[in-house]
Amino acid sequence: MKTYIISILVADEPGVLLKLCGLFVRRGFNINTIAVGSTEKKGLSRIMITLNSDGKKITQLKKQLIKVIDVVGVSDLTENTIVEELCLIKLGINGEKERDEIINNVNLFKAKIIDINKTNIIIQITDRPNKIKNFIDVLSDYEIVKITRTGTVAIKDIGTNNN
Amino acid sequence: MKGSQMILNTLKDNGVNTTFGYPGGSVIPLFDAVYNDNEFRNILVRHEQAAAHAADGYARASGNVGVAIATSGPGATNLVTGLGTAYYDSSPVLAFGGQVSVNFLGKDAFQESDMMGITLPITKHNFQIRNPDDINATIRKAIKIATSRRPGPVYVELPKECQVGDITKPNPKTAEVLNCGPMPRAKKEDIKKLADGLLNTQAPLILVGGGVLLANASGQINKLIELLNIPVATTLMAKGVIPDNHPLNLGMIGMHGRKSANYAIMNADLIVVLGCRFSDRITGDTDAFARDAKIIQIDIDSSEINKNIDIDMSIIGDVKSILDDLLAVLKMKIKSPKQTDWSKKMKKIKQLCCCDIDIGKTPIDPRKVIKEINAAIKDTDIVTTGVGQHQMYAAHFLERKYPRTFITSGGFGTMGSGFPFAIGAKIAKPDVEVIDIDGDGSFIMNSQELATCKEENIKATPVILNNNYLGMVRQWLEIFYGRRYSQVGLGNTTDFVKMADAYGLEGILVEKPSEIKDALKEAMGNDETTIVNIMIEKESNILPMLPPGGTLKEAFGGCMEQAGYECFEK
Repeated sequence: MKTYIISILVADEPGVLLKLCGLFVRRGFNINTIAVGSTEKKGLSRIMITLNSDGKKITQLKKQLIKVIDVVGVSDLTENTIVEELCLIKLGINGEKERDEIINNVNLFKAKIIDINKTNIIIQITDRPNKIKNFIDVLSDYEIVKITRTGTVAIKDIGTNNN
Repeated sequence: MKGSQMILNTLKDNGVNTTFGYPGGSVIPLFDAVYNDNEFRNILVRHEQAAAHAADGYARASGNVGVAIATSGPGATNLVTGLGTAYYDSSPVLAFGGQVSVNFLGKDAFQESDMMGITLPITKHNFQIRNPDDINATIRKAIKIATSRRPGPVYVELPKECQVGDITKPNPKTAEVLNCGPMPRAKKEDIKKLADGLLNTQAPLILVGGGVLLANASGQINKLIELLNIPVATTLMAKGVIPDNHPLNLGMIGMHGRKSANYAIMNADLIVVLGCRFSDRITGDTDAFARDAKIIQIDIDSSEINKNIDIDMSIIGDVKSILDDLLAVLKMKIKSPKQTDWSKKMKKIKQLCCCDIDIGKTPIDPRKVIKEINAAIKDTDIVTTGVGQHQMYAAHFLERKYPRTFITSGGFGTMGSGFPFAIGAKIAKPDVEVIDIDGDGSFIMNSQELATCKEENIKATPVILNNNYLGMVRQWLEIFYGRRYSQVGLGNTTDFVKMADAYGLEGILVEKPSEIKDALKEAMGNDETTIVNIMIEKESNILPMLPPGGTLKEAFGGCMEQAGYECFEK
C-alpha cells in the first residue's frame, strides 16, 4: 500500500463531485483527502484526491475516472510533484509559559499565528502533509481545541530540464 | 414555444418519434404536448419498468436510442430496474423522468425523489434540465452520450419549469460533449502484431462478446473467421453475431456454456477477445481461466483491460475499424484459408456437442420447444427471453443467424424483461415476428403489458416454458442444497389462457409435444398477441453447468456427459 495523489480535471457541472465520489465508493476506494477548486481554465475545476492503494488498482481507477462524461483528464501526481496542504489549528493557552512554548514551535515549523488572545491561539501551517503531521504531534502536548485541513494539493514540479 | 414541445421537437429531429411512457403529475405538461402532436407516438405501458425495458428492447433491435418516460417519485424509481438492465448490457436508452418544481426540490415534496442520486451508479450519465433554453442542447448531448463509444443509458430529469416555461433563445448549433468523439484509429504496429499472432500460433481462438454486436461488426468478424478458418466462441450477448450453425462457431462459453466452447478456451494457445468484459459468468474461476493461452483483448473501453482477467496485449478502439484494418493486413498475407489440425478438431468437437433435441416424451422436454420454435420462425424474426432456465435453453439450442435477432438481459439478469423487450423490438421492427421465450415466473413479472399489446395493437408472442417452478433456482437447490426446494414452487395457480382471455387476447395451452407446432403456428398466424403456455417437465435441468467458483474444466452434464473431456483428445 502506498499513498497516491490523483488529480482530476473536470467540467464544472452540477453533480460532478457526486459522480466521482460515487465511483470511488462503488469501486471500493477510500479517500484520504480531497480538495476541489477552480483552475487556470474557465469552466474547469480540479479535484485532488489522495488515497492508499496499490499500482494495479490505481491504474484501473484512473481508467474508470476518465470514463465519467464530465472528466477532462486524470493525472497521477504521486511522483516528482510539489505537495502542499493548509491546516488551521486552534489551541487553548494555559499560562504564559505555555504560550511562549507554543509560539516557539510555531516559529520552528515556519507556521503563522492568525489570531491570539489570553486563552486561545489560532495557527496556520502550510506545508507538506507529513510535516503538518509532525507539527500536530508536537502540539499534542497542549490543549488542541480544533484542527481543520484543506486536503492535499499538488502540482508537477518544474524539473531540471524545464519540461 | 413551451419547453414540453421543444422536448418532442428535439427528439423528432434526432429520429425519435416513438416513446414508451406512463403519465403522472410532473409530466402532465410533456404528455399535453404529445396530445397535439400527430407525428409523435407514445406507447402507454402499464408499468414504468416495462417502459424502460421496452425502450431497451427497441434499442437492441434497432441499434438506435430507445426512449422511456415516467413521472417523478415512484414513476421514476420504477425505471431503475430497466436502467440497470440497459447499463449492464451497454444499451442506448434515454429515460426521461419528471421532477417537482425547482423551488420544491429538496423539500420532500409530493412524489419527489433524488433520481440524480438514485440513477447515478446505473447510468452512463444523467442531466437535470432547469432552464427550458437548455432542453435542445441537453437532449442532443444525452443521445450522443447514450449512443457513442460504449453505449449506455442516460437519465434526463425534467423539473416542471422546464416543461411549462417558454423557449426564449434560438437553439445552439453545436452540442459538444466530452468523451464521446470517434475513437482514434488503432496503431499500425498493433494491428500487425495481432495479425502475426493469429497467423503464427497453433491453436488460436476468437472470443466474441456483445461489444461486437454493438459495434455492428458482425460482417467483419464473419469474414475474419472465413479468412483464417479459425474457431470462435461467443458470450451470451454475442448470440447472433455469427450464425449458430456455422461449423466454426463453438457456441457460448461460461457457467452454462457449451462444452465445445469451454474446451476451446482451456486448450487454445492464443485467444483474441473482442468486446467482452470477462464477466464472472463466463470465466468461472479467474485464476484458471485460459491459463495456457496468450490473450489479446480488443475493447472500446480501456477500463475493461486487466479488470477481471490479466491479459497479454490490448488494443483500444472501435472493434469494427480494428477488424477492417486487420482484414486488410491479413488479406495481403493469406492466399487461401489454412486447414489446420486445430480447426479440424474444433469442427469435430462442435459436432460431438450437438445433441438431438427432437425429444418426443411427455411431459414436454424444454429442448423440444426450442426445436419447434427454430422450425417456426424465420432468420430475421426476433426472439427475446426472460431470465432463468428457459433463457439458457434458448441460448444453447435456438438457431440464430443475424445480429440483433436475439435479445436477452445478460449482465443484470432481469426477470420479467423479456415481454417488454419484445414489445419494444416489435415497435422497432414491425415487419418481423417477435417471440418472447419466457418462464412462468419471469413472464408474470411484467404480464400486465398484455393490456399494452391489446390497446396499442402490438403483436409480441409470449411462449411460456411453464414448469410451475422458478426453475433455475430450483435446479441449484436440487444440485447444491439437497433438493430443499425453499420458495421456488409457484404452483399451477396461474391459468395463462384465462389471463390472456382477461385482456381480450387468445391463449393456447400445450401439454403434449405433438401440439407445440400447431400452437406456434396458430399464435404466429394471429393478428394479435397470443400466449402459448407450454407445460414442460417440472424438474428438467439446464446442463452443462459449472459448480459455483469452479473452473471451465469442471462443467458437468449436458450432451457430452458420457464422453466427458477425454473423448476430445482423440
